[in-house]
Order: sequence, then C-alpha cells, then structure tokens
Amino acid sequence: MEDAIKWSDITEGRECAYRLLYERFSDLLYGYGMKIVADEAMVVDAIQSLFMNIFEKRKRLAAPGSVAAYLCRSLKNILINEMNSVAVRRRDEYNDASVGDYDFELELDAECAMIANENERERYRLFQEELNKLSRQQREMLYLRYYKGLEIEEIAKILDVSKRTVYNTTNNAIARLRENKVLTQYFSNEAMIMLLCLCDFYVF
Amino acid sequence: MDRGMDIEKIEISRFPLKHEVFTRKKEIGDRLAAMRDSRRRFEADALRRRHRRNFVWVSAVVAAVVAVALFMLKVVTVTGSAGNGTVMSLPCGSTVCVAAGGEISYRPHLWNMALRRVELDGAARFSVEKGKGTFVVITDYGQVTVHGTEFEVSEQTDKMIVKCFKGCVEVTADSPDAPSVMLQAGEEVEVGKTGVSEPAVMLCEDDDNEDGDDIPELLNYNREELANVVAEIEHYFGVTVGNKWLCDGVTYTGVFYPKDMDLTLEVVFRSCGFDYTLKDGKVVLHRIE
Repeated sequence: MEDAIKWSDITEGRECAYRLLYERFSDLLYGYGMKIVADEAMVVDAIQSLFMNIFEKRKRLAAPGSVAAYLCRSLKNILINEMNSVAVRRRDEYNDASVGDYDFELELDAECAMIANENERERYRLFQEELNKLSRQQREMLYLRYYKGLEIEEIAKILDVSKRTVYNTTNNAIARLRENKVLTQYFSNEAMIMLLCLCDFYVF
Repeated sequence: MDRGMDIEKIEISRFPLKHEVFTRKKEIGDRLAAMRDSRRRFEADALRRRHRRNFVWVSAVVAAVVAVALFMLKVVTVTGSAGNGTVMSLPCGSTVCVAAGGEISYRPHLWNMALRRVELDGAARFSVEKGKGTFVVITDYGQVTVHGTEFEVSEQTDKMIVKCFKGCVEVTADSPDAPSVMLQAGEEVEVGKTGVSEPAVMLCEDDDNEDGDDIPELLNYNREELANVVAEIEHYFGVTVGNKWLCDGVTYTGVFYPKDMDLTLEVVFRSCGFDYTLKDGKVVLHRIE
C-alpha cells in the first residue's frame, strides 16, 4: 500500500509525494477518524492539521516503519487532544463531561447494502447488536484488520499493544460474533473452516 | 493467515459501515496543496530575509574589522628639522633624534601590542628604553634589532652605517641569506646590498675629542649619576659647577645637547629638581624650594 511513497521525497518537500500520500491514506484516515469521533468537521480539521504538520516538520521527521500506522496514530492523537479540549470546556460549562474517552462505534449502513428481504434485514440488526456487545478495543481491531486491511503489526503500533494482544483480541471478537447462530449461518462454510484453522495457528 | 483474513474481510465487508466515504476528499486535498504552496512561499521569503540579514551582519563585521585595521595601522611620521634635527619620544619612552632631512615612521597602536618597529629613511640616533617586544629599526638596506640601548643608524647613498654607543644591537642586511651581526658598544658596521661588513671600532663621539667639528649633536643618558653628567657639562661647555654635593645620589635619564649649553642646563638640572644661576662661566646649583 505504501511502497510507492518514498519518505525521502516527503522530507524533501516534493509536492507529488504529498499529493500521493494524501490520495493513498485520506480515505483510511477519514473512516478511522469518524469512528473515533462522529464529527465530520473535527475529523476533516484533524486530517488537515496532520498533513500540514507533516509538511511543516518534514525536515525533522524520521521515516516511520509503517506510514499507515504512523498516520492513524497521529490522527488519533490529534482527535483525542481536540476531544479533551472540548470536554474540558464542556466540563467547565456543564460540569458533566468525561475527558479523553471515545466509543469507536461501528454503525452498519443498511441503506448502502442491497437488502433483499426481511431475513437479511434481521441479520443486519443482529450483527449490529453483536458488534455493540464487543469491547471498544475489539471493535477497533476488527475495523482496522478486516475493514481497512492493516497488518497485525501496524494495528499493534496504532493501539500501542503487543502483536499477540492484537491476535488474541481479534480472534476473540470473531469467535464471539460466531457464537450467534443466526450470524453463523450467514458466514460461509469455508470461512468457518478457516476461522478454526486461524484459532490454532495464532497460538504462540 | 492472509487467506483467512481475506475470507473474513469478504464476509464482514458484506456489512458496510456508515461514514466511510470521504466526500470532501478533493476539496480538502486542493486546500492542503494551496496551504503547502503558501507555506513554501513564506519559507522562501524567510530564507531570503535571513540571507539579507546575514549579509548585513557580515558587512558590518567586515567594516568594523577594516576600521580597526586602519586605526591600528595608522602611521605616524616625523621628519628631522633643519639644523639640530628633531628629538622625539616614542610610545615606550625611548627617545630618538632624527637628523635633518631624515624621516622615521611607526605605528603607535601596534607599538602598544609589543611591536616596536620604526622605519627609517635617513639618519637617526636612538636611545632605547626597556619595554615589551623587540625594538627594530627597518631601513632599505636591512634592519637593526636592539638588544638594549643607544645606537645610531645612518642611510647613505648606497649603504647604511650603524654605530652602537651602549649595549649591543643586531644588524641584518636586507638580503635573503645574509647572516646577522651583533654589534657591541663602540663598534660600527656598514650594511650594503650584499650584506653586513665586519664590525669595526668606531671613532666614538662620546670619547674625549678636542675637535669641535666632531662634537655630537645629542647624547643620551639612562639612569646616569648626575655627578658624571655635571662633569660632561664642565667638559663640553668649559664651565665650573658649584654645589656639586647636591648631585650625590641623584641619577639623570634624558638627553644632552653638547652644542647648546643653555638648553642642556635647562633640561638636565630642571628635570632633576634643581634651579641654577650662570654667571662668569660658573654654574651654581640650588634646590627648588
């Protein structure tokens, strides 16, 4: 995903490298940011700040191991700082806000999906319910791993945990989703077999 | 592992999520490009301003260095006046009598930095005080390095003559491989384009000499017993000095004009704190009350 971007071009301030960086990662960042805080204006501002910070500090930036992980973690930090500032202001005004907390809700888009019948609609509802029952960390790892296709190592860097924690947490999340019999029917047999194999494979 | 992930991805992605489409992607991308462009222009301007500021600083420093150099290298030139020449003091307290038509030049500010160098054109007699740095007299024919005391340098048509009256001086010709010659008191050498001659005993002007034509223009004394100077006064001017006992224990440092009695009496006795009267070839000393 990031092979085509030479970090040396970024540190030298080449415009084509910045355009490519934005083109490659802005969708990932937008989706991830909107899960952290459901405020489009704040997320867009954070994305702007992130890319301008990179440009302004380009001469001092060391090449990251993973550009995706670096950008996601940076965006998350910006958003959390901004949320903290807002929360502090709100606490001063209303005395009821918690500081630096986020839910990472995964909200299914039923309208976007081609729902053919009532059974499928029911499966959506059940999947949404099961997602809501997962912990925040499970949802976040599931999202980065299966919706955004990041590597285990990249997710570990973003969330500042070990790779083993990422393996175990994602496997637990999948296993929990599969406990629901209605949902199990929805997954293909091949997927179930692979999941069982994966559970064995990921034991260290 | 990857295949497993792909299968899960396929299955899970059948449940699309909200807020995944960045509808303002192009707008924000264009805005970022404009901001980068603006930032680049600002950085270029700042760089130009910094270069301009550096240039001003460098110019100021260069100007200051040039001014200091000019100040330090300022040359003082003294020309010997007709007749007895010109007597002057150098910054270190040494005295020099520049003969008529002669000219010396030196840099007083370098002098303070222990660079005691005098350039001579013509003839001059030096009485060198001890001080920081070596005292050097430079002429077209070579240079005389002083190792303490009183000497005379005289440029002539095709050579230079150096006479040493007290102490010793080192004479070096202005040719690459010419050896230096140490000149002792009472010796003189000639310095030409080819080198320095062997030192020879000079006809010392301080010696007894009844021939009025050989009387020197100037004598220098350095912490000399005043009684001895008084004896010289009696010798040169044919006078007698009364109350000589006042001179006991008193020393004199300064010049003596063998051809000018009034000036000599004034300079010698006044500087030692004595008054005097001169009547009928007799000088009587008094303490100044």
